[in-house]
Amino acid sequence: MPSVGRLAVVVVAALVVLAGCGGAPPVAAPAAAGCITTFDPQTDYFPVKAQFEHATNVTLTYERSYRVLTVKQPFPGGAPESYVLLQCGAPRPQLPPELAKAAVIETPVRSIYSASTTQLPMITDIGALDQLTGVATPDYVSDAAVQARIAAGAVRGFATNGQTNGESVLAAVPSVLLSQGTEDPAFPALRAGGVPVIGWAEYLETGPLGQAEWIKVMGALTGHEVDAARVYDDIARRYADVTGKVAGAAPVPVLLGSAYQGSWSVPAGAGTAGILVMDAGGTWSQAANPATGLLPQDLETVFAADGQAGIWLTDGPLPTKAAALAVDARYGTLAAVRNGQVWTRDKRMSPTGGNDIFERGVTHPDEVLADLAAILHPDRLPGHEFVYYRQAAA
Amino acid sequence: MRGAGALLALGGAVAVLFVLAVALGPVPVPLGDTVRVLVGAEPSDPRWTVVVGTFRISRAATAAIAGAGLGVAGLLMQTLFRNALADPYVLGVSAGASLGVALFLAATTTAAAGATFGAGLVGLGRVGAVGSAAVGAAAVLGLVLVLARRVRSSVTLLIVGVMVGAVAAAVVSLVLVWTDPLTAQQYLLWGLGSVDATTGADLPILATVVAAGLVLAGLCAAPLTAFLLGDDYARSMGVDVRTVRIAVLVAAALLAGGITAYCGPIAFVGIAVPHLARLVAGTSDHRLLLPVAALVGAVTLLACTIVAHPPGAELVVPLNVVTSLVGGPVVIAVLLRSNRFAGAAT
Repeated sequence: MPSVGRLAVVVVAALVVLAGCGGAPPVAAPAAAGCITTFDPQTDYFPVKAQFEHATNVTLTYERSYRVLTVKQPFPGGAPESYVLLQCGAPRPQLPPELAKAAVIETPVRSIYSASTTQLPMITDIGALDQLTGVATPDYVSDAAVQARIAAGAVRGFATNGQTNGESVLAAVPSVLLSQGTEDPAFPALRAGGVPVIGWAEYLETGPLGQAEWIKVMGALTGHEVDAARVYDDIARRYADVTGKVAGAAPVPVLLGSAYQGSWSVPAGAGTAGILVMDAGGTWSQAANPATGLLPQDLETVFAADGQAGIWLTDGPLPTKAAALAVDARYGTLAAVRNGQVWTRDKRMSPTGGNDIFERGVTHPDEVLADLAAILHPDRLPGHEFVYYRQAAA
Repeated sequence: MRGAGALLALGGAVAVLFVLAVALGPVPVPLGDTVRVLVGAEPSDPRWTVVVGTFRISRAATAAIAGAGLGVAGLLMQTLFRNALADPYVLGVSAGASLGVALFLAATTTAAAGATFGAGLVGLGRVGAVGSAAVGAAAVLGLVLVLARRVRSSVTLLIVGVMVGAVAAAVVSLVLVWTDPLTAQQYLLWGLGSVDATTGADLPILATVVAAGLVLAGLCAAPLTAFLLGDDYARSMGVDVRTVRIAVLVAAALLAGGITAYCGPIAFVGIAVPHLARLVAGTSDHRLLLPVAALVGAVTLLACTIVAHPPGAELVVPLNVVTSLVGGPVVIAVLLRSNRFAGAAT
């Protein structure tokens, strides 16, 4: 059977070639710090315990050698999921029955695969950047420190076309993969293959500070709980400073969102975007709407309700008034366009297309709030340096 | 007489629905003020000048023009292919336009971020989006027309059109997978179909393109009737099958391509209106059937537009939801009640 033999040789040769093409070996992770060297069952290994003030979609409970992280809704409509964060060096604990199926993740984690860019500023802020080894789409990353690590080859992309490359993740064996708050078809295989996946759903929090507070989860994972608490407290204090500055000022009417193909998406009052505008001293037709998302509305509805507002906070890339009119000549009927008070939130764009307001802005709501307050009440924040917003040129 | 009466009644219905589409909308505008805006007088609230004069008239006019065009384009395709399921998009027009829009959106969002690819497109705004849809539709139709010259059978041409459309749709999927979520969302919105996006500046162009398509379709009316009995029969009646076929394809391309460029792919109207038109006209003579299909199309899309913008509505109802969700059952009911149900396609 010489032909079978030849075939076998060809197949083996092909497999060898393919194996050679299978990418470089996994990025070496640094040795974990903070591991227990001599385990004492009576010692409380977590003297610092995270407390959540605003976040409601996540809880952390503490035992002596492990914490239990529970995400109530790991993705929209998802059932609660718990993860056991076991301090490395501790023996595997006797877990209660309700945690029998929970993934056990050794902390501090050695390597993180991050599916959402909102996680990156948290990692940078608490000084855990050397634990980051993978991001979903490198091109969408704005954070300069992360970009530098990507350029140096220490951080890899694992979902560059929006679809998780399960095989490359399995080959890299990260300590944990943090999702972007949606379930991915590749996740079951990753979990089965020994890569724990945490449903990271900070965007399901309602309220800017609740989202920012997820930095405490990052602190627990990376062994930087003290840093995380300090960073969060600073953010919350600065946020309160800004709300204090605009307190008492009459709310300024504002037009929010933008139209596409004849439909206008207006943020509702109870969502994060809406809360930020209200806290910055603004008001609009849907401010009292208890919904949390974007409301698709008719052009005429938005024009009649908010078209006379003197300021337009648009979400589209409208660098100039002329660009706005080129998109839709009817924008010229808006008072804010006539006044030249059109503000876009694309001041911080990465060269490859990432908008930092969706990255850093999510976990630094104090900066977004200060921008908004300075637009709406310039007299209360004189000399403000804008971070994310810029005024469209006339 | 039945024909003249039907045309008159349909013309009246178009006029009534047009007035309703201008008078009704989510924002309650007093009737007196609507009339004042229409006659050029000052309304009680200056906002109504914009709501009625800028938004609603464009919307109603777009609905009437697009409805007429899609109705006729659907009839042309159903007759040419002798297929009750053919619609204006059967030759890949919609897929071609979608590809143009997807590429344009991807290029502009990348360029807005500072990349060089597509940098020249950013300032184009709406002109760019409409133009890219038109170019995409024209490219696909051009390809189909070239292939049509090599194909004798209309059925083969139908299959070729569907295949070309499938290839374009596959490229769209590829673009969407590689683009950012914002672009994908904008593309999705475009795909929902809308008569709200056309501005006063768009209308003359849309009207001219649709008028050209309608005139060309009208010139083909007599030979089209012969097509119903097959290409060979038409040939035996002295019809230059190849020339008429190309003319019909160009007419359908102008209609479907132009409308899709401005409104996105509007579902259902193109496939349902010809069936309703046959019931109303009671004949398969295209000299009557074509104008009836145009008017029934205008009536249908105006009615759908009114339903999609109900007075007092808080949220937008996508046009395609109305055309399919409300229109589908209505057409089924009409066809079932009709004796001509069984022969609706011919």
